[in-house]
Amino acid sequence: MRPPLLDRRFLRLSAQDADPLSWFTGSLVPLVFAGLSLLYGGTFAILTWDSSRDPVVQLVGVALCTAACVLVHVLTRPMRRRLGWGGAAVALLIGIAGFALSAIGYAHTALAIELWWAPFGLALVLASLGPYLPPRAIILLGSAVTLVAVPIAYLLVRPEVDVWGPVATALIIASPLVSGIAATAGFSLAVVARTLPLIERRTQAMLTLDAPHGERNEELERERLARLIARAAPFLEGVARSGKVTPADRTLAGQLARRLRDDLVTQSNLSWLDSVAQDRLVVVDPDHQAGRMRASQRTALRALIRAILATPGTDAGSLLVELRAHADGTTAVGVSLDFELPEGRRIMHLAPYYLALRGSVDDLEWRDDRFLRMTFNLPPGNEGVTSS
Amino acid sequence: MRVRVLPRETAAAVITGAVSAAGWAVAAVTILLTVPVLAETLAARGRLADLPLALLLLGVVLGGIVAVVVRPRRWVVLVYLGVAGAATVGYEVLLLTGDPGIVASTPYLVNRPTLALVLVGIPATRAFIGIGWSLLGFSVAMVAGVVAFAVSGMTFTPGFGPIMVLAISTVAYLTLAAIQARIRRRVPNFDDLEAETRALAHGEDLARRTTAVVHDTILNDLAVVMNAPEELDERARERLLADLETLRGADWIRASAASRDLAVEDAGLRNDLARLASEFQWRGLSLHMTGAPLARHVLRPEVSDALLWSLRATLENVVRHSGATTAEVEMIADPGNVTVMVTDKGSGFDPSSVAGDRLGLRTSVVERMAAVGGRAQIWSAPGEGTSVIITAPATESVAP
Repeated sequence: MRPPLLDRRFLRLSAQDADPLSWFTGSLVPLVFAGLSLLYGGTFAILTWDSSRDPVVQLVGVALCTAACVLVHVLTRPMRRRLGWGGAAVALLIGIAGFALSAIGYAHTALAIELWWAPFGLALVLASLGPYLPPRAIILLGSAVTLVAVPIAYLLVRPEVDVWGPVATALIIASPLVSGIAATAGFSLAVVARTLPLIERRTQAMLTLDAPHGERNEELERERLARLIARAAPFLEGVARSGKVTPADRTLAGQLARRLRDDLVTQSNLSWLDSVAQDRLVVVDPDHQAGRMRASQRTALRALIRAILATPGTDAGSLLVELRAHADGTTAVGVSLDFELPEGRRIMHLAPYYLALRGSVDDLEWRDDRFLRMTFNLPPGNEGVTSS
Repeated sequence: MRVRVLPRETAAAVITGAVSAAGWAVAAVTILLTVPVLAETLAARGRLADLPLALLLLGVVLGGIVAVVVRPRRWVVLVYLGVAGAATVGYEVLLLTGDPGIVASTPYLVNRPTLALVLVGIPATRAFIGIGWSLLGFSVAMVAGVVAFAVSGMTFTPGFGPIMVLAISTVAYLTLAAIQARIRRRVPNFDDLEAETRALAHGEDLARRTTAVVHDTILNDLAVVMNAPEELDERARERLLADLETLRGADWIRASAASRDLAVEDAGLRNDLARLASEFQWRGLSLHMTGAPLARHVLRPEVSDALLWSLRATLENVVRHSGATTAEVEMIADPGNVTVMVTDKGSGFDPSSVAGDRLGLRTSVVERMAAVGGRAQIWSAPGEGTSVIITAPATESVAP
């Protein structure tokens, strides 16, 4: 079934919001657009060097448009906060500055405006925001940019354009920008409109245990039970068959009961987190809150812990997972680690796991100083996972 | 709930397909923006009479784009390329015929429809398919240009636009393909990880069941032996042997109890509850059982087992720790649940002061019920007695 065309979320969410995992290396997009801007703008500036009133200004303009794309790249690195209107506006303002400089440079110059690099360069800045801004923001910011940039360029460039009429001149200048808005918003809308229903159908699906896993678990549990009662069961059977209880039987019953109770307490106090990494992970969970985590949360956190522990340079034993119950019913979860990898490599390595976890919990915060520290909350309604 | 992650192949197909959607949007905008430029230019050249036909031909191209957006199928795109290609030839011939000067400085106005040919393809699931459609569109655009210029008796000048559009769409597809390839290398298979989580949860569930059953049987039986007289009576011996049988059979260790079908008139739980009441009454605990069965409730076998074992553990707690000789057992039912409330007026205890290394009600009742989707709540205070409410989910409720 096709998704509804007018779902308002499609306009409010970015491609990155809808599927963060597809975009954690997506900051390549702004870099590629920066390269295109530099290549086309630089080539055009050099080819028109002699005809431009101030050719160096063109190079500065190209550099500004390129820098705007690079800024978007920096602002959208993994683990950074979501790109907001402010960051996007700053990048676009830098692009407008480059565009305006180019227009100033070509003022009083015979210019083939249909080939002019600056509208194209500014459109690339807008396009570089595509994966990170919702369609609504792209349309609003893009329209604002067009309404500011096109009149400036028109006033500066129009007197020397004799091939086209005034309407055509304005539209030809605006054309790359309007196409950029359409392409970027269309791309973002298409990604969100297709991704959201897919993810929602998928997250609502319940996974069932496959038969081989279930049978293997049952077999292991039968073996564990046999070990657990290996001494007590024959003893009790002997007592039951004979119907006699001696003082030695009472003493032995006490010893067996203490040992059995210790085994049961140990087993009962183990959480699923303890089984993730055995002795390489310290779990502090005095209120037995780990059991409240849903299957999706367990999967994401387990994957992250394994990724951290599989990373060279990890100090085994320094990984601490702490769960604290709060009076309001929420549970605070903290993960900390003494980690020595270079920051960029560490971020790229852990980003997919972090992003998967971010989609499953509330208020995930990542602090990355000398130690890796991460906190998130489980809401009061979190009801754990059952295997049935 | 599953992890909010799409399989990488699906995500890659969505993103690559979205490049096609971006192409459709640019194609439509290009045609629409051409209209005022065309009108002004034709008016300036004294050719307004040609405007209606030129607009009609642009309308054909725009209609084709709309058709592809509405039905993005391969055959629709192929028909679009054919029809829009023919319209492009007509448009270019119309503008060029008798007015070669219109392309004297630039073919910009003439080659606008060709951009729409390069930009419109099917929503590709792979980058090379998207690039293939762009190349096909570019080829149609070039053929249309060659034919139109030849018909007009002029030398073909393709212009910069179609090449630029082809280059940008190719770079876009390749960039996204490179990003997806990098992500595929870095992102683990969350489907496998989720299946592993489910299996681990199942293992923990079985371990909880084992802990609860061992606690309620052997651990209690050892306590019975510790405090027993020299001669065990017949009921005590039968109970020890029955408990051992329960453990050795280990029928309760199973992935799913679905194979244990309930007959429509199954009254297993009712009979088990009656036996349980009899057992505890024999051990000196008077039970006052009340409740109005307003409907017949069907419980899943594992829920029924959990309810029975939880009730047993609760009554065991009354016998061993409360000092009370009577307890109230009230059964309450609503359409979705069966609830059993056990109340005693014994010594009570402070639930917050129970040490973490005590199993008792935590494993035998609370965790056991939680594992099957039910719940248990305990209210108690020193000197005030204890109330335990055990709620089990019913799969079906039938009015009597």
